[in-house]
Amino acid sequence: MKLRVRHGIAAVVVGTVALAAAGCSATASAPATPQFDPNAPVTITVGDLPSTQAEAARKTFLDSVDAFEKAHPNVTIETSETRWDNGSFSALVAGGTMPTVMSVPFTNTKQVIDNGQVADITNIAGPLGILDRVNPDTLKQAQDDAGNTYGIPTSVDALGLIYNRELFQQAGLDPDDPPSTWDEVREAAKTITEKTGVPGYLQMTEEGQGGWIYTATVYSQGGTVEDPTGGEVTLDSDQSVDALKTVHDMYWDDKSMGSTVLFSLKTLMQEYAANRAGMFIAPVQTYEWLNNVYDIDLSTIGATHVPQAEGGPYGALLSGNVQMFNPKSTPEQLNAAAEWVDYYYFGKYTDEETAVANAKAVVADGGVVGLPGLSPLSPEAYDQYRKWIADYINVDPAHFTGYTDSLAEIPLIPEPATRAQEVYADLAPTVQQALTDENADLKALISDASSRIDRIISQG
Amino acid sequence: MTLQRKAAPDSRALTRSGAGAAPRRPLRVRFSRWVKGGGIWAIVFGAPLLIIFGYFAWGPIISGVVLSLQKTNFLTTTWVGWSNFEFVLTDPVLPKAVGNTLLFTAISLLIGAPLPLALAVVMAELRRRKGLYSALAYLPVVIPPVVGILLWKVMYLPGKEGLLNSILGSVGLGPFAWLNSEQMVIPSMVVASTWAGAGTAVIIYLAALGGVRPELYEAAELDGAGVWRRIWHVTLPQIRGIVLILLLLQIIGTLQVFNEPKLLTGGGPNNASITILMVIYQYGFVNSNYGAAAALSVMLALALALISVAYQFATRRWSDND
Repeated sequence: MKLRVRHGIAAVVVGTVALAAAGCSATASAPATPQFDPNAPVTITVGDLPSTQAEAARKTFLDSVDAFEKAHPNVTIETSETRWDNGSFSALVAGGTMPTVMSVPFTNTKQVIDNGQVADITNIAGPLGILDRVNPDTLKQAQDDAGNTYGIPTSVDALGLIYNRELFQQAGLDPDDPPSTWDEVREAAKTITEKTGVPGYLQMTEEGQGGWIYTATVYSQGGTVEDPTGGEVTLDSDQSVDALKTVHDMYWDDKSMGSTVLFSLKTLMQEYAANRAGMFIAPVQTYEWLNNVYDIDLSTIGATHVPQAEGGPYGALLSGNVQMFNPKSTPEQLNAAAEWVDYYYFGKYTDEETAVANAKAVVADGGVVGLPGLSPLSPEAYDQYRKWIADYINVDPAHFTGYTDSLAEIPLIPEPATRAQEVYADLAPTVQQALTDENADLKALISDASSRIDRIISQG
Repeated sequence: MTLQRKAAPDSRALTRSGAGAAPRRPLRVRFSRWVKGGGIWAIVFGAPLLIIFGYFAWGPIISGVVLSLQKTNFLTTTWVGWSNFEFVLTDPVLPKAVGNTLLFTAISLLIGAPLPLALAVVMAELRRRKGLYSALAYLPVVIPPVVGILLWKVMYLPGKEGLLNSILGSVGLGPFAWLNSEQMVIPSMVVASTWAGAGTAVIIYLAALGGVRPELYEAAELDGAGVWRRIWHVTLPQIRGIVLILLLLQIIGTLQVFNEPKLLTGGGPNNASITILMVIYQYGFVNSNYGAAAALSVMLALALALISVAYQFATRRWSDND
């Protein structure tokens, strides 16, 4: 009995990580000069179907699939809720269950390209003219050093500071003049806590998200985590200590961060939706997620840029997604999938009728139209798009001016080049320590973190 | 089975009489006898079980061991020898994770082992509504673990407004930081996991207690034994086999604690609740470093095996007297 139990447990432990090994096979890559019939019948799977929780977005997605299939009778689309998951992506590719196309965050594009886990689509998307439409700076996120293209960037954004306009008003602050430096954020947070009793500022601290937001605060102080090539750690700097000291002092001295230390984006959104958070740093898309999942008054949400240290602006962390393709796909599948990406993600920018129809449908389903931000396409295409859909925009641009005005001024800095997710996960405890130990030696914390990250990136 | 029983006398005959001395039936005859005796059918019926068991139980173990010696993204694989083990053993987080896991196990044994036994003994003594109480004790087991753990997260909210804190606050205690405190986080988790897991042990103990012969109690009572002496001299010795097995299962289970730290704190604050399984998860599912995840899994499995063997030796004398 005991023997069997032991083996069973060993099987579970070992099997968890080992089961996926069953389907190993050789690398497949797109042929250099694909010969294929673009009109041959083909079936593709597209990932990122919004969950049933986000009803409006799901309906828009499925309607688009129907419309695409009507316009391309030879293409059959199967939808899948598969979305990026750091842990299971390798198994998806190896097991052959990766959708023909799905989105991969900027954090991981370099890694999956280097690993040969996604298809080279230079010779597929090139002739279709898709790549010409993409903003060249953004396209770099989907290319290797030799300039081959492995995906189509479809969203790009800088992190912002989301704030609760209602709490600002209750605290006697002007919601149309949000704080723009860290000193101003501290003052505003203190006032909100004093006047309303809720935390004025909260920050994600759990696991990878904790390190992600901490990295954004380091950028905002003028520091970096890795050098641009990702070959060296640059974390051990006064700027990193300042970033840590700011939240430490807000928590311990100002007492403007409440008492809970551990937050993920999800739990933070819950706090925000319950009117228990004044400000927090997150992607501006949080606006849409709050709308899709929580029944809250959207006019209370404001967004401005990530606060900058004195002497700035220094930088905002750039994030986004690239549509990437299954390396085992046939050229016909790659072609159909690239056309789908062009249709679904870019159609609204390039075709007035699609843009208007899309916007109309989203509004009717209670979704968000016209969320300000950056565009993966050229700024001209984006401006044109916003003109087409002007009648349907249900986001008050005045609540976002702090964010939109900053995009041209604040340098946008990409995520750490080497093993970003791992680095983020490793940085989280550092932030937690600053918030749970009043007497923590912040300088020592940073230098410890720096040597741990050195170990991570030395794996290559 | 048939095959082994039939073959055994033959091989013994061979050894006794020396090679070639006694006339042995030719191989062909023996084979046809074995076939006629149903040997083929034994294999036909046994094979699916053996193959399925081998593939699903042993296959992953072997792949895990193989994986621990490789660096792979499942598309390209290279053999790297012991370097995954070196990487894992030099990870500065590992000692912390091992320490936390051992602390969790130790506190779990202190609280989680005697509690269900005590509950079961008390319930066994009850004359009425025994079913109701055992159902109540088992109820937390029915709640899906993730839901149960998230409920505890609400209970443990720090600050005055937290559920537990507001209860304790009404008698002038707290507020406590619970999961936000490096010192309190593991004990808090043990309470949550004991609440969730004790029910199963209670039911098993109750069943075992039902098997204790009543005349033993009567005899003890005639000899003038009180409640405590009856428990100590009759109940415990009678169910010690079950107690020992449940203890071992609890040790193995708590050394693999994952749900509580993952859902309650993500391993924080400051890695104060990171456990061995969380490190494995981190390697495998965040860092995509499958080799390191497999290496640490193999080491954990070996450690559990060694602990189990040591446990058996340590408790052998007690079990033998049963």
